[in-house]
Amino acid sequence: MNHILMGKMRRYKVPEGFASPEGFAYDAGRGYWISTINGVPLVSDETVRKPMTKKADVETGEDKKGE
Amino acid sequence: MNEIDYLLLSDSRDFATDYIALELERRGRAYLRLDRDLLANAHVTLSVDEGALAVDFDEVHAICRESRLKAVYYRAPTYLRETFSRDRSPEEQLKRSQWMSFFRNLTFFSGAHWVNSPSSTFAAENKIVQLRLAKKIGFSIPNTVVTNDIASLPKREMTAIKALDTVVMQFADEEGFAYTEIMGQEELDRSTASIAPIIAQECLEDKVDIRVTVVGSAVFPVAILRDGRGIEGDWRLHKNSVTFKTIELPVEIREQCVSVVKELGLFFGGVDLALVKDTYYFIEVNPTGEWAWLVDAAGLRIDMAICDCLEGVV
Repeated sequence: MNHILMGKMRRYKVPEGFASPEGFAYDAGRGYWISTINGVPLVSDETVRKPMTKKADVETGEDKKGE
Repeated sequence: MNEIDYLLLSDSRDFATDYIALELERRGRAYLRLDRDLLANAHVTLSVDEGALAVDFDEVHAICRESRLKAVYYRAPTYLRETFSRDRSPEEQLKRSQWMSFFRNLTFFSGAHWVNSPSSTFAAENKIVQLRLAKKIGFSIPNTVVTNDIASLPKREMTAIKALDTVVMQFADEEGFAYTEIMGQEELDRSTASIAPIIAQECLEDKVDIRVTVVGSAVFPVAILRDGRGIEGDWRLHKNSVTFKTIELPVEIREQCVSVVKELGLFFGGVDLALVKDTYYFIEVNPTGEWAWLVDAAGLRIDMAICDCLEGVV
């Protein structure tokens, strides 16, 4: 018999590796992603769909301990 | 060489840290973001004798001095679970274990203000310790048992079953994640937990989940709703259809949220509460909880509060 946590576990396809946000490049000196088109930081760009919920929750837990 | 006042320890895929870097830049602060995933491309030297960390990459030539560094924003795990793995190359295993340790060893800068200190985070990441502290502070908590003996649990119509720690498992071509599950007595009676303990709690019915993000003395509470109502069971199972509504908390509950975070030695914490009728139940604190989703989803400027905290304002 499966352990209770394993029996109720939600399984999903292994997520693919991290893909860079399209149209943005990481500026390591400034410490944030910037649009390659207009120079607007990703997190300030109102036209981009940003994380609306806890992004790492399913993959590794909130603290990314499982990465 | 740029002298650094604020150090951000993260990885380049962590967009929450983008908010902090951007705000520190807007404030004209001297900061450096160090990303674990990019460190192999940089020249990094920590001198114990000089009390200084020198970093060179691309156009960046920065130095953090023990005598000058004011604060550190720590957005990294306190440890990695899968450093040793046959699926990783020896080089990858070495890279992961040693850079992770390098980040932890930066607590060498003990005079800086750490948000949060990894040692405090490590100690705080124990749900039962949190529950006991919360009860002592005055919170209501659900009746809770930790056991590997399901037969010993109190008989109830419904019981909430959860893991003591995050459960992420790898199968052949899938991953699995254990959420909080609400189970009836009949299903519990057919279950086993002998190989590993679980948390069993009284099921809080007709609850409204509340996330209270605490930054120093600043408090940002939101109710998590679907169709304007609370969600039975684990709301994360419905996360694509929930909304986050800013709410006011009673003063006593606000103060208790601040206290539980502070007494765990933290400056930041995502406190999970459940409101049932007029009672606020403490569920847990996430010392490394996510918050960036609330900046846009609920208009909460948690990024500014974190920068205030780094600067010692809140």
